Amino acid sequence: MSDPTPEEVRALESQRTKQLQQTERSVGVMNTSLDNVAHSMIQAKRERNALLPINQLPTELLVHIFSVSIGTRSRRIYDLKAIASVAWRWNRIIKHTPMLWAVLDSTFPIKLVHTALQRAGDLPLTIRACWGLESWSTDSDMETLRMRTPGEDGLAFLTTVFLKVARWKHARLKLGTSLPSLLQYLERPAPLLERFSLKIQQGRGPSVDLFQGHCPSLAEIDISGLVVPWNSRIFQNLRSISIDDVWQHGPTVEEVIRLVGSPPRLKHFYIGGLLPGTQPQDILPVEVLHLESLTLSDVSATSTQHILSRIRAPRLNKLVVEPTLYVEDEYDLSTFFDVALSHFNPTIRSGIERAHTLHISIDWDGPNISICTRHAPGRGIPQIGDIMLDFYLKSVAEDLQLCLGLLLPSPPLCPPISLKITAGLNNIPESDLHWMLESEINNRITELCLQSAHNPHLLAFLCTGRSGGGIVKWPFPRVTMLALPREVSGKEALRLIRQRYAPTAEDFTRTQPANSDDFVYEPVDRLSQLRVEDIKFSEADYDRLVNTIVGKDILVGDSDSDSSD
Amino acid sequence: MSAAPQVTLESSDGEKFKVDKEVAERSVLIKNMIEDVGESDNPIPLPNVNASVLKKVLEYCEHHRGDPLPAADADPSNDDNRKRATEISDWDQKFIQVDQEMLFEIILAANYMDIKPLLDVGCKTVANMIKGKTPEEIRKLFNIVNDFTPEEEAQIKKENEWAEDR
Repeated sequence: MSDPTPEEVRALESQRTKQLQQTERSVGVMNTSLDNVAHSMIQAKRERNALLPINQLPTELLVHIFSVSIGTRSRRIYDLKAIASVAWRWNRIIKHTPMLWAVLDSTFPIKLVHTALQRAGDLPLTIRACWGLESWSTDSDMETLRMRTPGEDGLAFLTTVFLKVARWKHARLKLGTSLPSLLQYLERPAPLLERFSLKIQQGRGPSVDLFQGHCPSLAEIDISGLVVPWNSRIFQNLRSISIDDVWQHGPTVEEVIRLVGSPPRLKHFYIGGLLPGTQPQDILPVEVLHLESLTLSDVSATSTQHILSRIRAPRLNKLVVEPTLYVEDEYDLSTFFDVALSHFNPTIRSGIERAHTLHISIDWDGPNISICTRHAPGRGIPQIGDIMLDFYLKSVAEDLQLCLGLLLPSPPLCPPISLKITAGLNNIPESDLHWMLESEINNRITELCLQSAHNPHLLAFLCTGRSGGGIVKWPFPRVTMLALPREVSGKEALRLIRQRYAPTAEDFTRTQPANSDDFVYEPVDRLSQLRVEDIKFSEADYDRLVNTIVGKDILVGDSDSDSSD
Repeated sequence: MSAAPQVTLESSDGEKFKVDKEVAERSVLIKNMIEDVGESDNPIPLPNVNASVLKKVLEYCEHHRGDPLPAADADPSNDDNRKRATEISDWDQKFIQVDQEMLFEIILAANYMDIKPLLDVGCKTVANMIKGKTPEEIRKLFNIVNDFTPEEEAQIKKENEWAEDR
């Protein structure tokens, strides 16, 4: 076969070129068709989604639902991401709703903070930040730190948001140390700020002229470890003031009284620590018409007296005095109670008469007394549960006697007591338990709530009566509400409950020799409520408990009956 | 003793409901209509609410008659308010245990009739359904199909890169 002529080659090339062009056109048409089909499919999906019940809701309702469903702190941004990834309409709503992006948290990755700031537009910002806190902190916000250790990102976050002070509406900041380079930004005006909280763990640095006194909308301030000029204009219109941990840089007694007396609408005031050693003589009393709660913590007894004697607060319904043992030597317990009896006594007594709550707790620093009263005419003696005794960490008999010294001499003022034995750390010594049994308090306690059974003496004590002279006395015979923790076994619980109703000689110890088995049992009150959540009973014990001992109607909470027990 | 004043409400499908005025006035819409028009024997038309939904709404209003009305200025960015925002009382929880169609109908009716507490219960319920779920779980829950184009999906993935090391 002869080679094709040049004319034939050109003709063939031209033919193939035409074929190729035709094929390319066909592919183009097919691609367009495919695109059209894909587009139609997406459109069909969107139209279908639009018909779903949830998408019948108008955008503003979906925004409301989204804003409720997203978490408050670090989860917030991940929840937003999840919702934005569900479908096209939701994605657009999330992206184009500034309100959802106007909350910034130090756990957000810094890249996202910039995106959020952009999407938030000009809206006022809510800022939350934890940075460089010591690990011993037990604050619930530590969850945040566990999720993400703040490092460079944390500092970059702080720098970014501190530059926006003028846009802050709410700010809640916790810093491990004061960062002067950042705190200087707090000396700029904050015209939109409504609530401000700044706690510095290792603080008390140089005084910061907060917002140059220019924050006309500020209603609440909560500062700890931050020193500010105590005569600053920022305090003038507040409804809530909390100042803590400023010690030798703290306000004087005179300044505290001015702080309480200046803001016309002040409702809550907390001070933890004062500038020690200044006791002015001539301070005019102030009348604080709206003050509802006043807490003086870590304030010396004398200063407490000074302050309380010069504040008239007709609507005060909560007074908390938390003395400390380590501010000044004068604060040993007996001194405090001398002060309490001489100065606070009328307050305490009238408080008790009108009490919502009287809470005496004894912890590291000695007794704290909180009295919450109500403004309206009293409702008389506090009800059961209004008085709680919490035990923590240390021998309490002596302190407790001092506390009860305020109550027991006046039986009408000493209502039934709810005894809550709280912490896993609880370690009430056996001697204290016996003291309670012998004291007046044994007959005053009507509610007993064990939140932990780790104390080795406690359960044995509660299970055992003591005989003397033919009379068997029981711990807490007036208890009608009993709550037991899960650590108690079904058998122990049954024994504890049974001895109250059908005691036998095994249920008490003899403290004096007895001639016979003729014992008189001190009568006990019947339980009206029993809480035994998560306690495992054998089937037989459970039947016995609910059918023959307490009755089903007073059993509260889930308990497991387990035949294998 | 005179009987409590009553009003008649008419649903979109023509069913009439005679209820105490106090109950009907849990709806700000109805309260305003009564104030504008004055007492009348004519039924108040509710063209956006059918009978089955109106019955549920009135059950809610009846149960909550006399409850204090919510504060209008509650700030949702406050943590306490937010916590409250996701809490629903036992009765309300049982009341709102309905199928999805009815749930969203109730929300729309509460929105239209301006019954803020009921609207809140509905929205909180839906919010609680969404909370903590993955996009796929949310789609499954509400029968939503993924309607992103491949380009949009790639864009979302790119935007969400920061979250991948979570």
